Amino acid sequence: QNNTITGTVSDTDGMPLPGVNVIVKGTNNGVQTDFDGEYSIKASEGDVLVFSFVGMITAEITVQQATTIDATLEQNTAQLDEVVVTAVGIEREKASLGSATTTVNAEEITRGAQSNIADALKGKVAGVNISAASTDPGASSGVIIRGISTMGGSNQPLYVVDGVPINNGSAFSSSLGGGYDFGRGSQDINPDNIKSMTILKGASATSLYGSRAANGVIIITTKSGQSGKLSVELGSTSFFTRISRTPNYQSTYGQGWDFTHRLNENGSWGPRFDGTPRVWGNVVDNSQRLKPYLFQEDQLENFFDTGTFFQNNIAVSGGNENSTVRLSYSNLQQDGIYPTDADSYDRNTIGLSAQSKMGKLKISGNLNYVNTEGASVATGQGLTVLNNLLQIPNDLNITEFKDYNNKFNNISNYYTPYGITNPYFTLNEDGSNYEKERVYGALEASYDLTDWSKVTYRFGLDQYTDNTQFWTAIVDPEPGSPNAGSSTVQPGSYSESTRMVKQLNHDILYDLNAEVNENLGIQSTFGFNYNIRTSRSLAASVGSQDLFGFYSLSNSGENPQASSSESERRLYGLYNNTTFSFKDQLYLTGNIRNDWYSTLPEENRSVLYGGINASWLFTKTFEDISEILNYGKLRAGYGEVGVDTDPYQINPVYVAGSADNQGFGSLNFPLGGVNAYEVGNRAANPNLKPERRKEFEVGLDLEFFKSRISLDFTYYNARVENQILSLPLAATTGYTSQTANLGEISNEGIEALLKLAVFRNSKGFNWNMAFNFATNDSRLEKLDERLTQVSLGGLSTTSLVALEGMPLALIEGSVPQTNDEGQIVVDSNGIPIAASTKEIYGDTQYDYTLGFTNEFSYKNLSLNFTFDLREGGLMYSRTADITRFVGNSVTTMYNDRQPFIVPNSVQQSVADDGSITYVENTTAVSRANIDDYYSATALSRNTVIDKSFLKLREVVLSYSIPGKIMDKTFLDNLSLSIIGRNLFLWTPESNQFIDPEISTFGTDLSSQFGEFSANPSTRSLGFSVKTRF
Amino acid sequence: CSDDLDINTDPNTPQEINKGLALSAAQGSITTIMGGEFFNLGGMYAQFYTQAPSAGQYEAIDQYNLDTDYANRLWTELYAGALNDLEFVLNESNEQGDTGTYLIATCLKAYTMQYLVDVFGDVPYSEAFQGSDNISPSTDPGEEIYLDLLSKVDEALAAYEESPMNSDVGQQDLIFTADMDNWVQFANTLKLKLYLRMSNTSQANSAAVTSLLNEGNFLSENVSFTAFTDATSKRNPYYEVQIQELGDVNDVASNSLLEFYARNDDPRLEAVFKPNTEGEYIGIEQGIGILAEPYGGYQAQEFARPDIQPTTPVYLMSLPESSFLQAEAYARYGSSEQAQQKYEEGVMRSFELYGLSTADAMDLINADGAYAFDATAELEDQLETIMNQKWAGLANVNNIEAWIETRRTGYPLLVDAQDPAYEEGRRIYSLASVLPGGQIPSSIYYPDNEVQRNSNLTQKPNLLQEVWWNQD
Repeated sequence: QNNTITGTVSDTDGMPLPGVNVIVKGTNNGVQTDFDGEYSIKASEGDVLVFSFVGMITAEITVQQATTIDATLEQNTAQLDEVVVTAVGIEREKASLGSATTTVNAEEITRGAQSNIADALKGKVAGVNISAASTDPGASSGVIIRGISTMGGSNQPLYVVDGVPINNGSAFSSSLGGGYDFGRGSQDINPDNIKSMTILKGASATSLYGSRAANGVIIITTKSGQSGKLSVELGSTSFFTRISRTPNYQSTYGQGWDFTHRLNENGSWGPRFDGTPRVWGNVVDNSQRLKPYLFQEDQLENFFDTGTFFQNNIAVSGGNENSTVRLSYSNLQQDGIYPTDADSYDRNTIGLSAQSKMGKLKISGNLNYVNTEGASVATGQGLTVLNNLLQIPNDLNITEFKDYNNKFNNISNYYTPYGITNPYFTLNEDGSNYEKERVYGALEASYDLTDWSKVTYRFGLDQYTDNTQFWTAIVDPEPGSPNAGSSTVQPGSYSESTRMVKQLNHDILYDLNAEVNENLGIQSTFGFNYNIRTSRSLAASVGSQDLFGFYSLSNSGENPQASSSESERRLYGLYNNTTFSFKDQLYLTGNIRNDWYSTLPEENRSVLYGGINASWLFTKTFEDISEILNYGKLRAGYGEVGVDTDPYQINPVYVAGSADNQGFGSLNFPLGGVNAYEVGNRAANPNLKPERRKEFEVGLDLEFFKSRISLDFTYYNARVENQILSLPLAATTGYTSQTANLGEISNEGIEALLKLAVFRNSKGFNWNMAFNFATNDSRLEKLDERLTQVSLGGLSTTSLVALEGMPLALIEGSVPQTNDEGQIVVDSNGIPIAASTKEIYGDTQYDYTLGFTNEFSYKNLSLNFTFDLREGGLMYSRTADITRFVGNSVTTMYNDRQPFIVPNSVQQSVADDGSITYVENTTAVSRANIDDYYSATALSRNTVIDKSFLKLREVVLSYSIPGKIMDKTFLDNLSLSIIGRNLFLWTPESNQFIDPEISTFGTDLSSQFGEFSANPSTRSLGFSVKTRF
Repeated sequence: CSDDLDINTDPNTPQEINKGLALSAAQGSITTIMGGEFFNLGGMYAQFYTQAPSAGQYEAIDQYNLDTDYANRLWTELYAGALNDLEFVLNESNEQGDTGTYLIATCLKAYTMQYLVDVFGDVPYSEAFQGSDNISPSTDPGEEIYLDLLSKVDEALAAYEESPMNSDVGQQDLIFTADMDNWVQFANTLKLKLYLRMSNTSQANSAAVTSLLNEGNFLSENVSFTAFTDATSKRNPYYEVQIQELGDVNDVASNSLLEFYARNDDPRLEAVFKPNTEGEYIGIEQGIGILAEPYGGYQAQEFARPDIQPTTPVYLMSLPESSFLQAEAYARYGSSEQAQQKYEEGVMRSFELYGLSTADAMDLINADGAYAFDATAELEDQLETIMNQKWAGLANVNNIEAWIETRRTGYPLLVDAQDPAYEEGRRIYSLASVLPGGQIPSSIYYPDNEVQRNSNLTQKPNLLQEVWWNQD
């Protein structure tokens, strides 16, 4: 005997509320209110109607005889009852948390339709720096919380899915001659399966997770089935991407070198454009091509294509009051902006989660299968596509090369022999393939011992196998052709590697939750953790290929070089977390944990640490200020965490015999049937200690005027002592490094989130603004006196280093030699000579980051856009370097390329007795030497750019079909969105080259160095549909 | 639980090795540098090769403008690779009373250390190889290193002679397959080389040289590493990098050597160099390829280039070198006739090494030949004849040795490019030099990595610092 119940839902001011969810409790029978706040639902007498709306306190009204039920919802001003999942799956009220904790809900995660959960967090959490290595399909995104904490290890947070840590390892290579990035483990998680993500930042909260939580924890709770009728969620997203930035080229001078129009030069150091018809390229069969000698507009843009991205999701859930189940599937197909599918990424995920309650026993589990397949276009120097592209003179139309078998365009007759070839040849013939099969999941059983205590056992498994293949084609020009015998000639190559990575995690927990009296409550969790991580890999390669177009280890006259490795580490942990609450306004939480690590020497293996934090909800203590300040919480915490290191770092090793041959090659045993082992270059360290992170933080959460203005503010100061680093040893010691405890890093910063409800009209126009501001100062406070600096990567000429007392990390490079008067010393061609010692150019840290979000909504229509501002910091750009070297860059136009004398310069002369005198330089940099000026080592500073930027990160225009219309369909809801990403980018004057977010050095500390011919970044526009029935 | 955590022993590497494995590795490291980076550097500074136009990998070498990080890799490979492995071999063979292997390792250590002194000057030696116990080894004066190397070789020879225990490393000695007679001969020839380097110093020791000459037990085989195959990371080190990896675009024939051979109708021209794509042997003046004119746009294959094959042996010391050392020793401390005999033997052995007929060599060393030795001439003139041939015979054989010997003796003479004498095949000041006229590098910078990590080592002010045996 169902009745139709109708009514109006309004707020406390009497304004009708559209979009309120109204469901019959315990069922999936639900509707939404329309523009006028009105709803209509079928229900029986005795049913309970649940009215819920974001930001409002949920109301429940039992259906009586009346068929009209109006509801009034109150603002959920204090969010007092918000429960968040904290360490090891423990649920705590948000008010009780004494450390900065941010929870991002499903709606925010999926709004921008990102396929990667790290990207979905971008700009949404203060103090969390998310950097994507590139916008290439499937490339990794790194997350660094509160700055760099370790110079030797990973700075990535620990990802915990439903209480179980999962692998977040990356598959990337920063090889300068063929880098790639096939992503990180965290991006195997389907964002549509996530219910919420909680980011724990400070050590006082993370210490319970042990060593791997020292860089923060991202806790992911996945969606579980809902009881009631079978419910199906569907989502579909399509994106179209275009190249967003190419280096800015000069348009005055064309192909050639030394001001001469040479048709085989890979550069634009030729004469001034005159528009006259000129032949170009090589003479083939007595013919040659003709074109006007003119600048090509959009030369690089024309090479690239429109990329596509399609993602489809389906999830089915259902169950009864005791058992629920949810099954989901997602499919993602992405093809990047390179023509062809040489840059692509496919991902399929299947997830199954189920839980069942049988009296006092509760069993739950989830199992996920992920299959990814990708291909990427190699970055870096050599015959990589981009390196070929960036050296093409600015007057050649790149798309003319598209038919790379054409007699003018083939590798024999391509216009230049200088170590590069037709980019279409490389794009089509060279390649890579990546495949990964992953299974991860968790199993949990908990039993209620009493109504205030329970025991839980939780098992986690995460296992994957991946396979990476690379090949480069034989480049073998026909004998006698212009490119025969040139440096472009290559024998081809093939390599393949397979890894198997496994993690097993066991937790046994005992929870108690008791109210001692009406004022005092205790919640406490005791736990034991056992974690095993193993990996095994096998790799083989050949440095030549015999048959063209077939890529295999067997397709070579060489024996493959093979290598294998395995690794295992174990960890035991014993811990307790206890929270005392007093009158629901004062909270005190303590964590304590002892770890035993397999990776450290036996005497340093056991490590005890912990943390304590407190919060005071002072608006509950002083309730009379609630008119102005409706919510106020003061929090403070201090914590310590021990951090171990990679396995096998303490003992001496012997390694396979191999000699470094100038960095371009090596001589590897066996040779002549004789094998060799040699004393490894890493010296032993039996005294290695764990790193220790110590962190203090204090914060204030305030909400004014019924939460119209809210402010979260945190100050933190962290130190990481006993930094485990590789101590570079002088080779004369017989070794080149030792893993040792060498320094101390500090991170000090503030995080602030200001939210303003500029307009709030539940029936009409709403405007919300949010400012997300953070500063962080990472510094190398102390460095072992045996070290003057720490080398963190980069190149030999320009590198990434850390110096005691200085920000972390710094870029160091060559500078011009100067005399005592500060005059620049030039050589006989008038070009500055590099000083024999390098100097620090500056640091790589942002001075501050600011995310600025605006959200406008009118009835069912909303517009949301986010700007991302990052200010300060330097990065190296090889795109700058190479486009300056070949004279394409607009920055090679000083003095219109006419001869000039380097201002304030001198030439030196050294007498036989070694004394040096300086005379004023009168030698101008001639037109023939101008290219040498732009590639002079002394002027390397010009390849290092300011990485500040302002980006229009995301724009989302959404429309939800009103409930009135949906009522007439079988759908419960339907929403449509248009999404734009990276639509605009502004950079400072010194950056005429790239999107400064890209890197080819991964997504951790070494990525701070910059890029080595990274693939260009993209902007995209997409469309998304979501529905449920 | 404690045992459960005792899993930190790296399963990917052996826990123990033996001296034979380490000896092979050390020989591989020395070979890689001698036949790789030193081969290239020496080839340019001895003026066998020069930087080609239209490429630029080694511009800084021809410009006499080496960076302070130039030597990072070779220094590391020699100290932390070769020499540290040799320390392991020395310790183990000492413990086992294996005097044979001890002598082998001592010879290789002395050989390597001598090159470090000859190329860099004063270097760490007595405080080196102590791992983390001494992370900043001080340098020792080159003179003291030389004297200690001589005494170490003498001690090892004496210990071997006193209780001759043949090395048991067998095939793992990739140079002489543990043939101790060859190693004793290498020890003697190495000693002669060390003494002759000191011949212009106060440490000159005519008695010791005379004694070695009287014993006369010098090399009877080339000291060479031949275990290469034509596969990635198994090739001749110069071939692997210059030709395989970099595409044979940087090093072309320098007229300093090419003209010398050509003017004298010396068939070694076609053994040392391969012709250009037209089949011609065309070289360029040292350093001119870097300049804009006259070769702008020219490519390496338009010139003759060093003829090194994937399996060309790397010679640590060759028979011709041994002969020329003896010729010099006789010229200085013995009879001119014996000097002449050894000189002529050296030229013939050089032709043999390049696979040429010794009859052609005879034509040149005849009394009326271009390479005739005048036993009646002044010592300095005799030395010039010997050293010019030694230089011409070290090309593609031991290029760094050739450069070092040009610094020590000044031969072949160094003239201005405009000097007509240059036509005869002399050395010139690189036309790309950034140093003021009349200056040429006398050693190279310590590598940055060492300078940064070793607080007891100070960088030299410039490339003009002479090593100890060349100081006035």
